[in-house]
Amino acid sequence: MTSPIRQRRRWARSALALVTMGTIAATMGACSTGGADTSATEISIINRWSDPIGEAAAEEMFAAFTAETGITVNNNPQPSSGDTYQPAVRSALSSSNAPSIAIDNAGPNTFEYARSGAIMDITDFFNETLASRSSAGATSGETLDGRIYGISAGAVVGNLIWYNPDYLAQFDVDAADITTYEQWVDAMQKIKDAGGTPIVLGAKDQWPGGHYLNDFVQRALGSEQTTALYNRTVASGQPDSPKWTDPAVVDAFQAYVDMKPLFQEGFLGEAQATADSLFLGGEVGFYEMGSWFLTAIQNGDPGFTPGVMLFPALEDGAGAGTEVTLGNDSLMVSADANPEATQAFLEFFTRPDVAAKFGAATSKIMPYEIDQSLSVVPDVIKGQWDTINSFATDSGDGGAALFNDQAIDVNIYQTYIWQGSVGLMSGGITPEELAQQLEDATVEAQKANG
Amino acid sequence: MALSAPLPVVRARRASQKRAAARTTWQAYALIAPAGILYTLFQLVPIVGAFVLSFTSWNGINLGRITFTGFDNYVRLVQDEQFWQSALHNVVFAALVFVFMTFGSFLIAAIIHAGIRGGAFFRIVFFAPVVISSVAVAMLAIFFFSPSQGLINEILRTIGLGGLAQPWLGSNEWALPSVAATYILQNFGFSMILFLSALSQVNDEMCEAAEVDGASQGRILWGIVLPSIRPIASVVVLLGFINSFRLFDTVYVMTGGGPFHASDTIVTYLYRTAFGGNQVGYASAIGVALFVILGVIAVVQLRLTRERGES
Repeated sequence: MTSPIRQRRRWARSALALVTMGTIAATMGACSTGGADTSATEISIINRWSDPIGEAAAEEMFAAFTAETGITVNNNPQPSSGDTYQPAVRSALSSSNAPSIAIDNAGPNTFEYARSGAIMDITDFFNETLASRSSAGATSGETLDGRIYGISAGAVVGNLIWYNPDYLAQFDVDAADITTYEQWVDAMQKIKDAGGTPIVLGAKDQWPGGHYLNDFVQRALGSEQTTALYNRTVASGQPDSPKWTDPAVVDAFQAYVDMKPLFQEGFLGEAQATADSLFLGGEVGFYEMGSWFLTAIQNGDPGFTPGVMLFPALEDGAGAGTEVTLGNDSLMVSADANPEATQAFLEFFTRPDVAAKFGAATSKIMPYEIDQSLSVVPDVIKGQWDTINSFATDSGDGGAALFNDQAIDVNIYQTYIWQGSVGLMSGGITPEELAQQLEDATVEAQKANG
Repeated sequence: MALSAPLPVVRARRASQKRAAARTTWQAYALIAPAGILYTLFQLVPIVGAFVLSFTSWNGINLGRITFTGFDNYVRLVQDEQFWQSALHNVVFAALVFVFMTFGSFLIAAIIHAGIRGGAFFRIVFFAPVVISSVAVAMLAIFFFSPSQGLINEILRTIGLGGLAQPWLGSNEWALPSVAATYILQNFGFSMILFLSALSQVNDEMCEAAEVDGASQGRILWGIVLPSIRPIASVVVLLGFINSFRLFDTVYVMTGGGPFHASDTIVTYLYRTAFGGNQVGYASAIGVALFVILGVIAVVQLRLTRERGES
């Protein structure tokens, strides 16, 4: 007969063994491969629609998709910051439990995933089903070696100058009179001389300064040559010209440095969010920011109606003042995703009614046929929304280039464009030195790209 | 029966002891197994993995496209000015932490230990930031250091020292000290609590006896207090150095390593290389280098402490 003590010990050992096995099983479960997306009734999507407006619009769209198809959507919105969002997508797509659909910057990011086999080639599906309802920008930065690896999840215009008409009026400045960069500088100098703050910049966050380098280079070289310059860092078989060290590019960098006295005091230490609030607070004349600033206007509800114009043309530049910089979010299908379910979503997403509603709700330009009657934006941003759309439409063939941070090799733009934009202003590097470093890095990248 | 053979009773007792020992061993292994498995999976495997990856070129997406590059990453590391500049920033940061956090927290701990009024209140005030997320503290610090809306420049202007106002986080000279000040102020309380605990262990009778014998306060501090708190002080110094070299979150949130790398640390550089530049192989080499640096610091520190203890 077993004694009670032994009995208890046996029970304790059994319990301990169970706990151990449970822990091992849980650990192995957590680390095991999640496998491919085999369920036809659910898709998962990692996206940057995480601001309140974007998330609500996405949830509404997903609910409508589920109601129509019976396919549920596991929504995984992530903070949209470039520093953290792109690593989150990379981790997700490289995991064994990849999301069905991922949204990330078009251009080098998408190409990297395509080359790595992490995303699906959707060329045939696009040509058969989506091409007829898509415009040129639908696959911009998503086509590699003639194959399509994503579609646009909505485009933004980047090279915009926002202005406060009420503030400018105090200094007898009318933005409508400004057509060239030189006129713009004169206007800002006038404000500065009268004791005002001409323009605001949140340089601490690095990428806002990268905007200026993009704007100046595009206006100096024109969109076509700018794209050629950027492509040298990522694509194989590119010509060796233009170079970063070309006088026009160096001068473009210098033009940015020359703007230094016009920015607000302490701009080097200011965050972009603070710069947003300074402009929306009515304390400044101009602000360079992309079309996504519409959301900030919607949320901030400033006491004035902001105006918007394109970055002015340089008098001796090759780029026209109508040329736009586009940012394109790429909607990519994971290599392991269920093709039928994800294709159903792509077809739904690009439908005229869905694209119209979603584009208007998120202030994104949808490069698809859209039902204009459903493209309704709030009154507070309607005027600016229409203006920005007209910029995109009027830019014409060859009048658009992708943003530098969507066209240049990811390591090069982070190291030299983002950090370099701050270095130029802090005196850490000269335009000539930055141009040389960019050229050296580009040559290295070209070697790596074959 | 041979005389040397153990008696049956003894044999049975030994067998029983062996069984008990085996049972105890099995139970011990079972008890540490969950932690051991987790530690192996989430600590040892990644460490070994990073070491292996440091000899490769990989973009972090598809393991099938990994290529072995031998010592290329380490050769590049040795020649990488940005890495050494980042390492130098860590050294500067460690020095600031050593001077201000170690000595400062000891001083405050000594004052509180001396029995000033409101000692408990000051303990809470100094310790409270320790339990707050460092990201939250860094976000708050950004507002403090804002050139246009920040409290620091505002105070300077109010007291007539507007000329000293700076674009703190955007200044080559001030970015790193600003981050260090934030880090030190947040973590100061932890060192202070450790020192308070150490000071409470100092033998008061010995101090009083020394005082009666005419020893000066400095002599008492040097001869009695410091030797008594040496183990804790070593821990504080060691943690300060190690945390200074592992520094990431405060820098990343406040400056992102800028302006133009002026506040980059090894880990912010590593992070940007791996997750910004898609160079996981090279970033792993940086990680291995950091591992070696921290290992050397720990060994040197422990050896110094042991030698002093023995002497």
